[in-house]
Amino acid sequence: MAHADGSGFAGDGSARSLLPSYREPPVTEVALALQFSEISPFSTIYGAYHNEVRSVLPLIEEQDPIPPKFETFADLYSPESFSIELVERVPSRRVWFLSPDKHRLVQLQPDRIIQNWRKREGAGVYPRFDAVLGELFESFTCLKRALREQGLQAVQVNQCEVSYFNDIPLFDDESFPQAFQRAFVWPELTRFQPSLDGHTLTPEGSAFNIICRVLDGSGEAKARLYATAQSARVDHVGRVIRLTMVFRGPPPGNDDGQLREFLLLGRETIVRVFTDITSEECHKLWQREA
Amino acid sequence: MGDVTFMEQRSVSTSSERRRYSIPRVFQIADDLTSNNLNMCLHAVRKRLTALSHMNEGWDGYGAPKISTSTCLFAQQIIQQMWREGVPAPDISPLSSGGFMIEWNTGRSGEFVLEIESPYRMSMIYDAENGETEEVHLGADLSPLSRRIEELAAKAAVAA
Repeated sequence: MAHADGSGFAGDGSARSLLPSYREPPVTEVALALQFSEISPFSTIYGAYHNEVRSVLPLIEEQDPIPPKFETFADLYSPESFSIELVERVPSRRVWFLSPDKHRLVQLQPDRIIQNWRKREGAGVYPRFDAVLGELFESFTCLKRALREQGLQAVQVNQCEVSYFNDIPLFDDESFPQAFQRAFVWPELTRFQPSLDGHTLTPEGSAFNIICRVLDGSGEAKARLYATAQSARVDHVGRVIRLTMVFRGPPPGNDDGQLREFLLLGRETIVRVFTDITSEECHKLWQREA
Repeated sequence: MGDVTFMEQRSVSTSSERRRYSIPRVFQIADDLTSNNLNMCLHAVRKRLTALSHMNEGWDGYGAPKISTSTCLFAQQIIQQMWREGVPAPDISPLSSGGFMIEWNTGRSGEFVLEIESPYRMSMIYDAENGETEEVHLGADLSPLSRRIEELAAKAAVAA
């Protein structure tokens, strides 16, 4: 049995109920990230880390660093309005470590490690969430070992992030608004056709953005979920609805078990929301099993 | 940042201890900078935090750690989230522990202090109605902080 993302069970061996599962989920990329207070100095870590993973991730690419993100919860908070950066920052870089087929990727920068699985050129079999999660902790162990060898202190994780990128292809001759009507549970939103004096409206594109707080049993906010759908065109696939789902928040603690449990909560949140907002017609297409 | 001069000692009482901080006045936001212009305030805050993030280890003469970029950015986000029209921009001072003391002061309308040790490790210190100094630890939930800011904003509006 396979989840929209994973392997059929919640993955933690607990009594957590079965998650919705699909044989052919539309997922094209999964990224699991741990953010921590930046390691300094970091320049020697790239080489030390590559020595640890060279046999499976021999390729290297350099990218601009991703700015840090902190989820906080206050009455005044408007999560869309913030872009934080200092006037000057010490230049840093993000390094990609890639498998030969480029499906498997580890991204490393002074304050973050990210484990990715990606489809490439429309191809590739998703290894499922539990496999990517296992790879993340293997990568994290390698990083911690490299830090020890360089005499640097252990990192304190301050943010965990689970991201899913789903591409829902359009049918031939299907417009983007028609595809949104087919893929999601609120089709009326794109079916409006007001009567205008001598004029008509022809919808050309659609998009939506959902932001939710994830509350625990006592009502305390623990994380935030972002779901974004937009029209896109992808090489080797064509026109798609790109549905991006991100779960992010501070973990309850710093041992691997607590980090793993928080990431599993992220997976569960995303899979359940994904199933709730997408249509039964698409569930059949993706071969829903549970 | 080798030319920082320590010109003031400021004390803050907490329920558990009495602390003293050395505050480099050079890092204090100008007294006349009120937060009626968000962009101007944020630029001043960013400049201040950038300056603080450039201080070397041992800046206090007693081995204080260098303030991390993560803590600077987290502090900036908190200040940005808590910006309210009419409430003066807070004073920002370094802590010997590697964090920040952020102080909102509206004169007669009241004041309170937020200590940020690192992302998600914060204490809010304020005078309670019974005259005692209270300390509240905060993590990701900033509701107690935002309520204090709202109270300050309301009092400032009445005073104006």
